[in-house]
Amino acid sequence: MNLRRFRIAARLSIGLGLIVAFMIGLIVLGIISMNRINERLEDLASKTTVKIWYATMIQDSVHVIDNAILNALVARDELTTTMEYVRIMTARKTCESAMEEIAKLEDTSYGKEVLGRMQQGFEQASRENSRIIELARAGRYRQAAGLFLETSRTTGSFVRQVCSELVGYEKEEANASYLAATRTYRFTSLMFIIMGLAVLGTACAAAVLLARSITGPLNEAVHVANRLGSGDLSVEVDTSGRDETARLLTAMQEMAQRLRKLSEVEHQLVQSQKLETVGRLAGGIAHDFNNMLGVILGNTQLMKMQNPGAQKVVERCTTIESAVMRASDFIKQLLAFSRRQILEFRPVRMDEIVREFEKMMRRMLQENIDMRIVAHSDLALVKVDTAQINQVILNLVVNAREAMPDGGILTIETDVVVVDGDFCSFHAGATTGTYVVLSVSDTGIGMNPEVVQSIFEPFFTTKETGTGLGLSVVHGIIHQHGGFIDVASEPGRGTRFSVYLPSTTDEAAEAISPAETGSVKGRGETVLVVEDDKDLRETVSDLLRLLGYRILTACDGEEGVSVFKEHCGEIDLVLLDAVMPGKSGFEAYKEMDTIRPAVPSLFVTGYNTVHGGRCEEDANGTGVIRKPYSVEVLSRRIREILDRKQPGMTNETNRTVLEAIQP
Amino acid sequence: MTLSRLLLRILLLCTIVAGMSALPAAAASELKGAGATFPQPLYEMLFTMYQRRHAVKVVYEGVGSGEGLRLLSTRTIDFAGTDKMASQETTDAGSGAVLNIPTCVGAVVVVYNVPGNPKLRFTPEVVADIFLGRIKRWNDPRIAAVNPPGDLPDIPITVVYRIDASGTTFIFSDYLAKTSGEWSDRIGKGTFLKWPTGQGAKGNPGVAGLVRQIPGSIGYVELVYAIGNKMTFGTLRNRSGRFIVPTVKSVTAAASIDLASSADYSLTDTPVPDGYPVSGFTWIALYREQNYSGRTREKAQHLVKLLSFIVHEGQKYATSLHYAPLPKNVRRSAHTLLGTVTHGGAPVHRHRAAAGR
Repeated sequence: MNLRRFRIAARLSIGLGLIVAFMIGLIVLGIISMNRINERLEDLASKTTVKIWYATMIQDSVHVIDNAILNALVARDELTTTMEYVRIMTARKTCESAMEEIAKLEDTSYGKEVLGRMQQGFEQASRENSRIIELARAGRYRQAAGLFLETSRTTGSFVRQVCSELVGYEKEEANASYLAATRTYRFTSLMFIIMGLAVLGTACAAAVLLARSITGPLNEAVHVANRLGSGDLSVEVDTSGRDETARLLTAMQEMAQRLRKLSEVEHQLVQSQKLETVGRLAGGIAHDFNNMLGVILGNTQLMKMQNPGAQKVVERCTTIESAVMRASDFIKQLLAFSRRQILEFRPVRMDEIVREFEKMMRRMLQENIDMRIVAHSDLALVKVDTAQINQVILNLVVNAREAMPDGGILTIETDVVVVDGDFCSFHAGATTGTYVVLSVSDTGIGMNPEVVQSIFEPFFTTKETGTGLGLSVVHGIIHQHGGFIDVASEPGRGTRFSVYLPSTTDEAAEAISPAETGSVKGRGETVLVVEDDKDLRETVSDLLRLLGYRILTACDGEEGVSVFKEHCGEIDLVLLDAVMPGKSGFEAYKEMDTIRPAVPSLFVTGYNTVHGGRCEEDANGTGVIRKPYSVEVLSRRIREILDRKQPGMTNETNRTVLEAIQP
Repeated sequence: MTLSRLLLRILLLCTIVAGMSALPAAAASELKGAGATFPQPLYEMLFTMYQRRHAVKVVYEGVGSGEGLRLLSTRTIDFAGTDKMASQETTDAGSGAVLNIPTCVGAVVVVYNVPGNPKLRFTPEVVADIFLGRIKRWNDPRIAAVNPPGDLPDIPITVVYRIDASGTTFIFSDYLAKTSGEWSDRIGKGTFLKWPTGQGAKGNPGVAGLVRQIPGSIGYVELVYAIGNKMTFGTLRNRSGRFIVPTVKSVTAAASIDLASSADYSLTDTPVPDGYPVSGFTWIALYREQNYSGRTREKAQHLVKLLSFIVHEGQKYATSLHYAPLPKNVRRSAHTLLGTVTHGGAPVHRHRAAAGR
């Protein structure tokens, strides 16, 4: 029986109650049996005494009768005879009642037999006595005396003898009974000692049992607490039972669970902090790096433009250009996991992204991999940067492919889930809401839990040729989208990455993918270039001049504003570097806006200063361009903004853009 | 030795012959009586005398007044001895009138077994309290108060009473009921009582025997039993405030009252200054009409003769056994009553009646 089903208090009181009841029972039993033995002894003693007393009474009375008869015979006188007869009657009655009393008390067969003999003898004696008295009354004294001598005396002595016999027997009997009673007494006391010991044993056993049932779980609790204290959260707690200790252990188990969750969350936090640090580092590098790349790219393109005939130069320049673009891509990736790249969000359908990307993915997979796409078309919309999501899908598909060198099944699914608080407590960064889930699962080699913990760290890789950036890029992109990733993996069975993206209610935007080919010439418009990097400023100025724009330059925000004030009327567009020492591009633009509202502007940025910030393209006069930019991109964006520019453009829209960009 | 044996044989032979010859005669002329043990010694003596003179054997068994009357009502016996006048109810109603013939006056004495046999005096209140179980020890101050200074032992009192229906009990309780209000309330009077304390015994001899045997006991018996067993008995205070020793004289004095004033012939708590307060008549009860259960006229005549003998000649023997003889007027009314006994409607005792006159 499991004692822990009962509360400690109940256990203790029941245990103690039982012991007390046992004790009381024992005491009561003891008192009763002692009383019984006592009673029996007393009864025996009194019975024997009474019987002996009655026997003596009989002896006396017989003697009195003899004596009375003798008196009557000697006196030979009627009156004396009568008076002696009174004595005889009295003595006889005494004898009779004594014998009656003895008969009432006598319960042994031998005693009864003796008594029977005595009664017979007495009756005979009575008859003879009566006869003698009769003779004496009739005056025949001699005859009476003769009869008395012949019979009565012998009968009398016989009765007396039987009496003595009875007394002797009674004494013996009493002795035997006393011995028997003593034996009973001894037996009873022995029984009591045994019972007492039994009760003591039971009590001890009960005490030990009770103590164990209390101290056992307490010790376990101490053990658990020690292990928890030493940081071992994997401790298993036995919470069976319904008593206080069980409740304590349950509480400790809950505590352990909470601690486990906490440490998990902590771990994830550390992880994200790590990413953050790397991201900051990358962001810091990226700014300067992009500027440098911008100079290289701009000058290379200038070189190409200025030497259109020199085939060799153009070729080499193109090589430099593509190298710069690769470097730029690398920086972009670094910025992607550090969530500092600029995203262009549009509400889209996830299944459409997957379907459009399908062909590309198929191209990447070998024949031995069977790709299945389960994309529901009625999913909620997500606001994402399509290019980034494509990057995510690509990275995940590449990983899946590499997990299945011998082929297998790759499944891409999209679904909608509603995430609740419970789910959130297990996933750092998750918040409740409706999510669209994109999951990529493979039937590959899988990963063990240690690997799973590290896969999102930058530069962590299990592949010989990997950069270790793939999944950290995925991580960065998804976080920038306000989503999170769930990984389920089992060595030998496969891995499943589930990407959760918050759903949106916005209308789906039409896919725009304008062909970015060819540069567009300027028509003599004046462009103010505000750029702190001298080389880049000059390169950009040369490029724009070459494209047919009039150029004003400023080396920082302050100067930009003063130049703008000076040439207020002639400036058609301001090209601002978003990040500059002193006054930033945005601040400078704000001031310019007060001088002349709604000046068309194009911000140039290497990375987004806003953590996870979003930048939305404004349709009416303000744009953002990413560093390093090629001459084609730059010229086309400038052209677009200048062409779109309308005289009555409101300030409002510009402010919206600024607010979105600014921290 | 040889001589005595020869004598014995002759004697035995004679007895057998006498017995055989007497048998039919005895069967015809045997009178059976039973009842009170109170007058038993006197009756035994008188019946022996009567037998000697009239060759009529009379057998009397002391079974107590109540049992005697019951045996009379079942026609087992010819007459019943009783210390309480037999009323019509105590005998069978269908058997006709019962006559109560007074035979003598006896005294009920308080006997006790106290070490040293001191002569003790009792007031009715003390006696009542002892028998009620109120006074539990002999050295009780209330006993000591009425006795001359002396050592009363510190031993418990054991009350011995009659357990059979008894006329002695009736006389004793009648006296206590008259003198103690509490006794009359709690116990009352009667032949059979519920005793609050003590031990029972059968008949006067039974009580006498137990009191003789139990130290510290106290009981009540007819005077002759106390004297015959050489027992100590107490003196009682009578209505006049005197402590009276029960003697024939004091009992006779108690009986010398005008019986016409006493409806039930009660002599207890007598107003006579020298009279012993616990005394009473004892009676022989018989049916007025003797022709029942095939009884012969001869038997009826024998019975009436016997009773007449007791009432007249027998009275002079009473004093020797410490009974008081009947007062003259009582003797006369007894005689008159005996004259009314009939057999088949005809008076039985014509001769004696004439002689009496």
